[in-house]
Amino acid sequence: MAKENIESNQMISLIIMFVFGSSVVMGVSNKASQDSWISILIAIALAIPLLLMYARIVKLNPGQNLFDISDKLFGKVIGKIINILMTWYAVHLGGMVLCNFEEFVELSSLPSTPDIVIGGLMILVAIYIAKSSITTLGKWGAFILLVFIVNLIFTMVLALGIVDIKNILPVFDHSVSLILSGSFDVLTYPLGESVLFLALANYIKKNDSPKKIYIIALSISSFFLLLTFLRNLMVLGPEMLDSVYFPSFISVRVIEFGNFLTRIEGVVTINFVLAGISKIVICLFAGAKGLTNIFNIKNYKDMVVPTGLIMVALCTILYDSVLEMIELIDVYAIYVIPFQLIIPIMIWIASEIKNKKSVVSN
Amino acid sequence: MEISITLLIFGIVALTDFRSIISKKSKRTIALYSTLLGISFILIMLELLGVDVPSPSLIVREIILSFTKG
Repeated sequence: MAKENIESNQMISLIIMFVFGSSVVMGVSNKASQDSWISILIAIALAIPLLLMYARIVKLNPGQNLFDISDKLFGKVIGKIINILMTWYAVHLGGMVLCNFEEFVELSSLPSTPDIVIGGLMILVAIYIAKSSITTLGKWGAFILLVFIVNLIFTMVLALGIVDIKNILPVFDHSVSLILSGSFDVLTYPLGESVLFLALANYIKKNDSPKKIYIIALSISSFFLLLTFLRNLMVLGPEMLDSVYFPSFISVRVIEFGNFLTRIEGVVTINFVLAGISKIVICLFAGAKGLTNIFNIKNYKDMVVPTGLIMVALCTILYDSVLEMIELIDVYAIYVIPFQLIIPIMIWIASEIKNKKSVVSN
Repeated sequence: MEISITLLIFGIVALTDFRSIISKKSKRTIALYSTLLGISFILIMLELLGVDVPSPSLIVREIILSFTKG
């Protein structure tokens, strides 16, 4: 059987869609209120070394994914513990995104529809894509990104008529510690979540540069992330931005173009569905691959359906309300440190040591 | 309503994907598949029947808050 690969531009598209996954509607951390754009800029700067580290791990271990790498570097016991942790993170994150989606659909358009129907339909699409092949996922990512960016630019342009630049002022009104805390939040959600792409690292072609893939994806996604935040801030103002759960949806809702183009928030919903599905598919991929590795199963596709159903089950017990969902965001940045930072650092250091040893022995 | 939809979803999975797994795959795959299917079914049904299942996210939140406050 021929080895499946993914084009670098498809991988870039997938990372961008993954970063936008739920942040396109949930927004990013707004701790520093109107100064949060500074937090986002700092987070982008901090994300560069983090993503370069992920890229270096891929470069040092060509043709292998996160689970193969940790098995190879740390042996059966520690390797399996790492794999269990990363699999849990993938499944938990997938469940959380599914939950965000359910809450959003319930609040915005289908208040009487049972959650299980919304979650079930969403996971069905994700399962279909994940079971197809990585090539299907790659093609999905590349096509969807175009639709996504066109939608985003469309809403940005229409918002120009109602933005109030004064909403961004006064600049540096908040303490440095608050701005830094906000930037740490943005770093962990959504930028650092791209650690899960290490689970797909074996699909990157050997000639492609992982560094280039990660940096281009980070540049494009950060640019649009910042632009989306600024649009929301300048349309809604800092007080309103603080009080709404789905800032992009609300800010686009107030856009009117003449008297004939109104209520275009459906465009944001489309973006959320597309980006949300992409993010859930990646989590599903990573979760299924993790389970396959932990239990020594040959084909990850056999584990896609049960992993998807576990995500739906997690989603039903994760939160009772949107308020509980928002409360978790306070501690999310701390919760993900082992998955996004500690484990990758361990893998990177071990890979460097192993690489040096093999160079010396050669 | 929710219970019937859940039963329908799991019924479809059992009749399609799980059946193809049983006919072709190894015992380990079948065991893991049925365990995960069972866990997810039980969790969803408990929640739908009104049993208060502890949320992993809230447990994580409580643990982290107890550390950070301490």
